Amino acid sequence: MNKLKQAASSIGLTGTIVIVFALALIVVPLVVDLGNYILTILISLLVFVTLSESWNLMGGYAGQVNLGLAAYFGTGALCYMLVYRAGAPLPVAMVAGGLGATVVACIIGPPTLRLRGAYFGIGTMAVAEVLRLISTTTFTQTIYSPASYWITFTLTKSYYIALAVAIGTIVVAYLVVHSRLGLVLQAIRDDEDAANASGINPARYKMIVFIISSFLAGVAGGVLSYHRGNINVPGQFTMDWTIGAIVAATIGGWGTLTGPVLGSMIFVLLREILGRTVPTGYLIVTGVVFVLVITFLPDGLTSSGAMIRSALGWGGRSSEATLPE
Amino acid sequence: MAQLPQILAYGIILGVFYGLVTIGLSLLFGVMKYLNIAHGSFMMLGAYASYWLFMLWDIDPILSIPLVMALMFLVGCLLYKLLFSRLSKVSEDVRINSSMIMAFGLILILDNSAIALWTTNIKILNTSYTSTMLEFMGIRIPLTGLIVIGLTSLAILALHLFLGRTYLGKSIRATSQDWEAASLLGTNIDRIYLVSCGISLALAGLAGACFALTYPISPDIGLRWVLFAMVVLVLAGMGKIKEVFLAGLIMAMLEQLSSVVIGAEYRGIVSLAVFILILIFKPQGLFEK
Repeated sequence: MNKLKQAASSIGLTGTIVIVFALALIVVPLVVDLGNYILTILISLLVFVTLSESWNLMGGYAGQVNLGLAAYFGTGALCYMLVYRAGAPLPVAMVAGGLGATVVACIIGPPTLRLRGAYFGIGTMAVAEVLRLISTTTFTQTIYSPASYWITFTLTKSYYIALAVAIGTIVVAYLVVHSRLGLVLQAIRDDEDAANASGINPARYKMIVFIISSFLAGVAGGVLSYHRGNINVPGQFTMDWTIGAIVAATIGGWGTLTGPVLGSMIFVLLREILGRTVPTGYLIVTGVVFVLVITFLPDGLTSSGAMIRSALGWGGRSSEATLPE
Repeated sequence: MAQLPQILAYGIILGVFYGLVTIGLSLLFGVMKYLNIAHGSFMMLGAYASYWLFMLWDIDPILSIPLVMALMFLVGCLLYKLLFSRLSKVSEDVRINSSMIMAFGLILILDNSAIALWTTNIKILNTSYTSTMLEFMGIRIPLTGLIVIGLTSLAILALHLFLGRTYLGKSIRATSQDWEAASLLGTNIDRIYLVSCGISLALAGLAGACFALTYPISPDIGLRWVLFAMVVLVLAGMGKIKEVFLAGLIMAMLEQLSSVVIGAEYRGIVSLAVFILILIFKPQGLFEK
């Protein structure tokens, strides 16, 4: 018991909350039958958590706004499906999806990450549009999973895959942020000149985290394709995925690990509550919430109060970036 | 290849149009270092304003242009007062990222409001001269295309005179070169930003009115066109004003030629692929020495 207390105190309050939360997500569906509707929403939530955490690594920690996340998500979904259809086992197909997304990152990353300013944002947006146009003209029909998939598929299995990937993503993000790489990234974000003068090559570190980020986004694409059992290729490349990830990460709070999780919950809740009745209305409301949060809480909801911040311990790390000079 | 001159003629019209869409974006970036990716959505708003003024009150889209531009100027001032002024005190890198993200929220609100108000159906503004074609040495040129070129030339001339000859215009140029020095010399930066924001959106309104004259309107035009505007922005060099039209022409010609050589469905892919190549080899823009 004493040892348990010691372990708990070394993890800290936030860590304990996160672990309890993760355990609840693991155990509850085993004990209680949540029903297909709730499970589907949870899967969608977990995909968004993965996506927005991966965006946040690049946007929140490295300060590089990726406006074309859909490209990595879509490429991941497509590569997963093609490899899975070719007969590869599921984990291999998922990794293949992530690697496919990484290849796209290697095309646009090196030229734009050398530069500062808006080049990365514009470049990623252009790549996303090129891939969307190519995929729309190449894959006009929905691609279905192979027959073996339909025998083994259950919603619970799909849920646990999404959960494993989401937890894995958060663990990866935690490790990155608490390593030398994470420190370097935050130094680059806060003052690239100073980082450069300290002997850091900013482009190299930005590229490393871009590869990690796009790999995770690609795996998220694979998770969603597995869940749906088919992919309508143009739909995977639409701007909606980028919008969802940016909204979730920004509402929750850039440069925090809990922010994207909180933001994803709000985004998915808004979508489920409003989206059923007024399909475009929910996006307008989301947009208004988004602008209000940026205007009044530039660090996101995780910074919404000193109490919450101190309780969570992680909040407001990006505060230096948005404070006036 | 017989239709080549015809295709190039359309290329010129498209190129001028690319320049017109980009110029407001470029002005705002040059002066304030804000990348307003909602610029296209404001253009969409201008196009709808022009459309509804024609449908409801029968005001000719060319005559309504001053009205649309004035309206968008006010929207721009309001936008600055409510949102963009909050970013004016942070450093340059942060400004670019924050303005992109804030504009992202505006896109969500504007595009989806347009869908809710006017549905996703395509709207076509049909005046008596919409489908008039002029024939010149065997090349057929739409009258509306010529009107767009004329209006754009007027706007450029006006902007050039304003930035070059007036006190306010000179202050705007000084601010874009070095806002701290301009501020020390007594320029009211806040006011300069307010006016620049207004002019930028007035130019978006002009682009929207021209869009309504020549192309069918739908709520998704904003996102589609702002990408091309940003591509032209990079090709011209970030924040440049004069080079914008040349870059727009190059981009449009590339698109028109690739639609002949490879196929119409690949024109967007080719021009964007070339853009990515230029980003790799000459990221400062085409005209930087």
